[in-house]
Amino acid sequence: MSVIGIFAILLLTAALIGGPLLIANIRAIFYREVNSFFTSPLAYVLMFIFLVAVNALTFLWPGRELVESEQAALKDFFFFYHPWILAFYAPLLAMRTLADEHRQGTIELISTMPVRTIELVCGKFLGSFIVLFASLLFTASVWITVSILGDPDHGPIIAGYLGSLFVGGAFIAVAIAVSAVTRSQVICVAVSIPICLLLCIVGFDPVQNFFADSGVGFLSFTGELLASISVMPAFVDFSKGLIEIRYLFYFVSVIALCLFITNTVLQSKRS
Amino acid sequence: MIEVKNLTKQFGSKTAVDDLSFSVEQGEVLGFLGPNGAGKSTTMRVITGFIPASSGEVEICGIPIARQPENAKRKIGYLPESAPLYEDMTVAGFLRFCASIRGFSGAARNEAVDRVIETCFLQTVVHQSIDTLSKGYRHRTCLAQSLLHDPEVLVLDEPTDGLDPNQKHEVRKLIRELGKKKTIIFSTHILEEVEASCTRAMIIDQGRIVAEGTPESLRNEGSGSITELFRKLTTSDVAA
Repeated sequence: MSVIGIFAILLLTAALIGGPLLIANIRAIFYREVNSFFTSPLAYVLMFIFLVAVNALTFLWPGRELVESEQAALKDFFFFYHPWILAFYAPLLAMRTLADEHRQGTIELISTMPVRTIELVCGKFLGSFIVLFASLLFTASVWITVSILGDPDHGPIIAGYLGSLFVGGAFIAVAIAVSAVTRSQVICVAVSIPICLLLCIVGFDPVQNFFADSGVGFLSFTGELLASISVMPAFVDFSKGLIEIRYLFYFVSVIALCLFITNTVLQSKRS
Repeated sequence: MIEVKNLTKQFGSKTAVDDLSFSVEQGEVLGFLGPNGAGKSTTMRVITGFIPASSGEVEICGIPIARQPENAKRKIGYLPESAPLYEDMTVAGFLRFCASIRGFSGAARNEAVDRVIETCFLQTVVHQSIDTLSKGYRHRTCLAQSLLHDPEVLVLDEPTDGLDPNQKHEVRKLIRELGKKKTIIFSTHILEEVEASCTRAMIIDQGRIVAEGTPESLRNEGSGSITELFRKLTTSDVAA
């Protein structure tokens, strides 16, 4: 897996330095993305649902209520749900980015301006990513709550947030890659949500335990293989406060791979 | 200037543009005529670098678009056929975005945006959201975008499509005016437009040039009317 990761990062780097990279272009596209996101009512609805989902699961999930647990650590409550919610939220955030360019025909306009495809892809990715960042900031109310009620260890919470950002970033990149292939937002969401969920499930403890307990060599090998592509082991470590280089590397390579695929698909689609 | 050499574009087994060669010099306005599906838009898309050619070469002011796309694209202003726009932006916001991509910032950006708003008569809709604009305004907004960087080469795909007679007149006048200093190629279905604003015209059919010359020479060739010549030389898609 790490070989694929290194390969993906190298490919994206090659695409980035394949010509002069104009930060000004990425910035212009990024600003447009963010602006267009916040002019649409859909954005506020999505954000609202995201915040309701995070808070409801954290405080109300039967048997896992944060307040009744009398714990101030967020790992088993708040962060426990993050990858699952993000698997839905990130594709919904990113679905419009490229699908809209094709639907409106603006891809023809932007492609005939002096912008490199990779600049377009990076600008789009960062645009969705910053919205995700803002959404996560709003969930800090939970952090404030536990800080008032108890005395949490802030280190793991910060690391947990970092993990959420990386998981969200990876999911956004997946959705953007899917949206490069299809013109339809519905298809983009219908394909990328299952992919993101799959990236969660294959590394989820019950699934991993099933493979590990099977005692069959082939199955436990499959389990390890699945764990290495899943976001779960990495995210769980982050939410415990452990930041490991190999997991940072994992997220960066997933994002790099997806952005590289997007770049390639967009370029080949035009011919 | 625009130099097109032996340009061929195939989509699968269908040949949209077939070994097309021509050039347009500075100060020339070339009218690009042809029935629907003749390959006009495809040719323009290759010239502007939106799609690559299957074979042949396109040079914009001596810069090959296939090998140095960014440099060549800086020289071109392009109005695509359907005048695509970002629906969720205002006219001013859209033009500012395009100006940023064209390398403008700060006061120079505002100046460029103000200039094209004036040139394309957009003053009354500057702060209006694009999805509420009428077709004429949408077209002019997209045209404004193509003029932001005062390009040497203008490629306009049906610039008067969907405009009312007054707007058509204004756009033709604008093209004539701009054509004195720039290299312009524009496509149209309206044959009178050719006489109104072109210095040279070309009729293409099934991806090939079937007639070329000044509006006068084409008129003479068609015994007094370009329409006659057009009907004689091009294949009708309703013919059995």
